[in-house]
Amino acid sequence: MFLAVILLILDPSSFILAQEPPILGQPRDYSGAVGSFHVTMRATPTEVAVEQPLRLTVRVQATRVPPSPWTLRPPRRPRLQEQPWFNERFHIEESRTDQPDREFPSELAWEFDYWLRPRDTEVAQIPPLRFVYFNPAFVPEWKGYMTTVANDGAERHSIPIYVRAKPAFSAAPLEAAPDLFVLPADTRFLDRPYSAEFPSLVVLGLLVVAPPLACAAWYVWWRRRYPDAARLARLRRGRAARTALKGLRGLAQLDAVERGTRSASIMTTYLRHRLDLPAVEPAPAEVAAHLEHTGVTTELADKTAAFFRRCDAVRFGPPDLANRDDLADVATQLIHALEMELWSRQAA
Amino acid sequence: MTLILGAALQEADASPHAPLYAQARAEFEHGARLRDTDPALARQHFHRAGEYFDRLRQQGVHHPTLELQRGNAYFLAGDVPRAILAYRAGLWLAPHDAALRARLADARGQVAWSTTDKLGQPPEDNWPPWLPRVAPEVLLGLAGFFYSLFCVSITRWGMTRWSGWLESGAVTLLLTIAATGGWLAQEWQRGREKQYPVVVIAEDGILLRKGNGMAYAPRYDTPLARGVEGHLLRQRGDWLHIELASGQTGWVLRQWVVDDPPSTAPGANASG
Repeated sequence: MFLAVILLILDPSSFILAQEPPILGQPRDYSGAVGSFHVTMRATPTEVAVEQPLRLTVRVQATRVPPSPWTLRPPRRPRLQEQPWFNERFHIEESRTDQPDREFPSELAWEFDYWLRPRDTEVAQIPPLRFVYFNPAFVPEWKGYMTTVANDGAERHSIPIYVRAKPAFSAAPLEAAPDLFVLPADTRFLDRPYSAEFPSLVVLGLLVVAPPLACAAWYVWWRRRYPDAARLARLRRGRAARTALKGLRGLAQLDAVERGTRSASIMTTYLRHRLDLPAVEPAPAEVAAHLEHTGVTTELADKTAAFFRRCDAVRFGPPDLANRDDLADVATQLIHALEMELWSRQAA
Repeated sequence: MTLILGAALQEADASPHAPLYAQARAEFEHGARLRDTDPALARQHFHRAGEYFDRLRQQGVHHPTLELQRGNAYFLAGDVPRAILAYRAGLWLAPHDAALRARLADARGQVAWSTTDKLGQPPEDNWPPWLPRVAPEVLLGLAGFFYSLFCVSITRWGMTRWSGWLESGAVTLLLTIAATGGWLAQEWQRGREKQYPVVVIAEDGILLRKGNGMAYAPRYDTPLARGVEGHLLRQRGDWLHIELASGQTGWVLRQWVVDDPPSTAPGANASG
């Protein structure tokens, strides 16, 4: 009881029984709509062959909300099959339900679709739809049943269409691959949208920005995690030359063969640290190829290869070759030349 | 397998499009049953099936599978223009679909091209047969993947200063450019087809005119055959200004072409 009192205060209209249009004077084709309405029609396509379908869309829109205590009531689906003008001219396919196919609440509009197939080529237009509604503003009420036609107020109430003769189908034998005559059983595609639209700017922006941002964050984290790593990388390269040169200076007391062997080894180690030479005991040609690949001039690469060939000759050749060149000095000069070229390239 | 199929069919039965698809399938299968005994009636049923597939499309079902079935229905009905239209619509959605391409080639093979010139003939497909066609989304994904690898390579080079990372970066950059270029080319083509929709000549012997009226002289002496494809450039009343696949342009009456209305097209209004 207490709740009923509260409800009465808050929403008195909830205790008022819904008004019904009067039976007196109600036309047989009354649509059930209460209010004031405007009806339009549109068709697509407007050129078809006999018995080919076209879609007719009827749009019913309320122009005024009825006065209290009446409430706006939407129409039931107009039945074209009950309108002789339509039935005589078209085979009509319409939904069995009274519900509209589309609703537009903000516009107070409802749309109904029909599929019409013209019966013959004499059909030249879609006749205007007759629509009956109840407008409670009239006194007495039974005078409130109003009849309008679609597109009332427009130049033409009907929609002109062009109907071609029915195409003749060939009686020639149907020859095609057997799989063409079979439809697959899987019909899930009916509700599976196939997105073919251009990706949104947000997605594209993410694709462009996300990888470099992630890598930048990774680099920052790496610098913080290994603060000396970058410096060590640079140092490794500078240290390689210092270590090699120091090692070469220490070969003075050794004999020529031993000096050649150690020079080659020191040079190889230097090239591995400085220029990432992969081989442990590289052939001269391999050295030249790797140096050229890293951008060293051909002349310098050839000199380095020649150094390694002389080292091999000293190690494996006749003893008289051993005393001709001080390979440690040659190696020292090569290292200086390489460092100069590499640093000048880096500065550039 | 039966259980899965049954579940799939049950799921499809729950679809709001299922009743219409069932009608299309019924017409199609009826046509298939009659193909040997009454080819003319069979073609009629296939055409009806195609019309139901059209309605599904207008209801908003956009899928290459639907377009393939729609094209096949019209192809079997002998309506080559509508078949070509359906296959082109499917290829717009899925440019990489081999089945649609094969069907389109078969449909084009039914067109009675002119023997004197190449008016209206589509350009030859120079795509290498050994190179697979890739879906646009796959190309975009590859571009993103290679781009990510490029960023990683440059970052690792910054960390180690090892030249191998620079080489890796160069290779992945080239691959990124290639994938992005391929994707952009496909998207440009699809964007163009969206802006200038495909139309297909529906009758034999149509002449392209210099203007929007029968009073204008024909632009070319060679008449167009049923099935010649073009793009709609603009429309004036009942006349369409189209560009053929071979590049020529001209005007043609609307009733002599077929096109696919978009699913939300309002159509004609009596007052308009």
